[in-house]
Amino acid sequence: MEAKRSIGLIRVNPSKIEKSIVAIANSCPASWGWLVFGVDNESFDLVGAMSGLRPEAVTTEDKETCKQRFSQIASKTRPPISYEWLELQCRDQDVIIIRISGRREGEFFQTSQGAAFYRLDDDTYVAEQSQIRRWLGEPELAEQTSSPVGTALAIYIILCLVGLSWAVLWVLDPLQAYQRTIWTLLGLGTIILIAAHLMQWKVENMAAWCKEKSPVLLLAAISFVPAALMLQLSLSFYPMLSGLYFTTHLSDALSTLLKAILLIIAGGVVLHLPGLSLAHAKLGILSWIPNHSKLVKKAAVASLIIGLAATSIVPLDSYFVLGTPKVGLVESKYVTDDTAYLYHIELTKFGTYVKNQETIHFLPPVVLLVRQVWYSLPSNCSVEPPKLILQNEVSATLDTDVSDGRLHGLWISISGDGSSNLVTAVTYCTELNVSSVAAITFSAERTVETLSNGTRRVQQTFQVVNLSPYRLNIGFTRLFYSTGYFEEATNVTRGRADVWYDKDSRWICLAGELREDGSVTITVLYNAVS
Amino acid sequence: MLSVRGVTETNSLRSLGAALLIVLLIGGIAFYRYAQLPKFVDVSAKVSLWRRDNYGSATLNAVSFTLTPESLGDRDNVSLRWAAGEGNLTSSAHWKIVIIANESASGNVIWDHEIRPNTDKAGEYEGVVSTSLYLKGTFTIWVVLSSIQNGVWVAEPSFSQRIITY
Repeated sequence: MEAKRSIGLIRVNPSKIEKSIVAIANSCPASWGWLVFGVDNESFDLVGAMSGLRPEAVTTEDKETCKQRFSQIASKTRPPISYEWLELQCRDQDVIIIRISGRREGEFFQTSQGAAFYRLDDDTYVAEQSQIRRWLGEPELAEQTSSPVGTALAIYIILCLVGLSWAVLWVLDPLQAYQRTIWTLLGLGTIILIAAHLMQWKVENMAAWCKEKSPVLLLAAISFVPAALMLQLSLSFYPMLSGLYFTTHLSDALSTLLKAILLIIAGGVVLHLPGLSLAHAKLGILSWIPNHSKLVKKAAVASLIIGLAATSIVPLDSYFVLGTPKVGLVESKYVTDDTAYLYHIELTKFGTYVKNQETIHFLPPVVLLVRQVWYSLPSNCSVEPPKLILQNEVSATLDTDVSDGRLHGLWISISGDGSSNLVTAVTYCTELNVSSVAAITFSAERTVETLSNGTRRVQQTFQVVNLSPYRLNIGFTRLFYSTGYFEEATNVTRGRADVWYDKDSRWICLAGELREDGSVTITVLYNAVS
Repeated sequence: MLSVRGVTETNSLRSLGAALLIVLLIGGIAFYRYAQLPKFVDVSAKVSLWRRDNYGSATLNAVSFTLTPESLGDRDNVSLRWAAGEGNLTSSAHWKIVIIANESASGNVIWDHEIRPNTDKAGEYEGVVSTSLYLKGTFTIWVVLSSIQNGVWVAEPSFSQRIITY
């Protein structure tokens, strides 16, 4: 029985009605089929026949028009379909029942376009050659059935099993997926063969069952596509929500799923190939979605639910800390020793840096699914190597630049069961702009006196003023190059400065420390070759 | 038709009941998990204090932070380390600790506590003062210790740190 609400369909969509009555007639051999107007096709509730889309009572004129139109439709089918038009009143509602004569043995019905439809459960299908032969009572051609159908079925089963088992095993463990797929294929193949033997399944029946269920399998697999896409998108929000980065093979879920779907489609094509004419194939492809509209709707709903679930995985996991650790608290202490460091690069070029400390407290997840995570801690300084100073219940490794040793971040491995108090702390340096920390003046050398032996007395001045609110540590600095005797005057305010002559390198050197607002001025008088 | 409708209604009720049960179950688990998650920042300040007559001074030795699921309340275990003047000198000086977070934090951004030992002896005191604060976001926190000297509050060198909570 097929139920419809609006009788207006007969006028508006005669091809659909033609398809429905052909399918009903072909599916009720030697009996009656029913097409009922005035009943909801989903809930089967009595709603009363309507003439259009709006719930208005159908008029006598409408009924007459539709009755005539239906007669024309039924007469166009090949052969014309016999039917009986009945009009009833049930609980003050109009109901129109059309009793359709089913096909007799050895015959079948086609639409005016030549398509033979039939119904199976709630779905309408195009009858293939083998089906029509069965209706006509003709013996099935051996060369068209057993051998090609059996081979096609075997290929379909293998492709589907490989595609699905590989996709599922890949989700669980991508490294083992290929190896385990072979064993799964062998295991499931054996089970199917034993079951087929014990249950005495015929190849044709198995092929028919697979053909009937192949759209379900395909749409079920396709319904995961938006979910895989949303999961991929959702995973990119992890660092923002949890403060941690980690890599997961699930980021490639979409490509894996598409490969599995391609295998299922290939299997489906192979399965439908035996006995399929070009005209049937064309008709089948064109009418695939209309024929499976209910299944497509169900797949769309399933896809929506699975998609929402996949999208919510990351926010739920980050918020409730289910499987991935999360950064709970970060303590950032700048200038830990209250000192800014000044270091000499070359000639008049200097650099400054300060030491910082970052203490990271992690929240352990309910189930530790992700053990290794990466915490971003970029440093712009490579003068002092970063140092791990605390590791509690975690094992941290410094992720530094190979070329200059700058800190990029920390690799954190949660050791043990990760029950509580997961903390790590690291010290690292940060390069500062020299002009914001100190004012450095290198005056140009000035000749004070030219001597008779060809040398001259040269005076040079170097000055550092601490502009920062911290102590300024002046590291080893080569100030002036001198070949021999020199005189030096050092004027230090708020701090200390050591000036000495390094005989080996022949440089006048400086090291010291200035407090806030402190300064050092060094004036050197030395002999230089003219 | 009536029987079909009856079956449909029963099925709808069953589906609704099952959906409600699932929602309640998931909601219950989520609520339980939410209750377990740390929401409070417990701040502990280790202090060394000194007082004589109406004069006092204080040093903030260390400040530590931990996350706790629920508030542990205010704790003050400051006690006398050694008494000045063989224990017969008394003092009315006391101390105050203030924890302030800047306005970029959401939650309770200021907390203060007066440290008044249960003895009036002059001398050196030591201990830890702690409190749990509900603080969220990225903010700077200051721990300021001050002592009363001749009736005037004088702030000692304070501690500050940038904090990020997720």
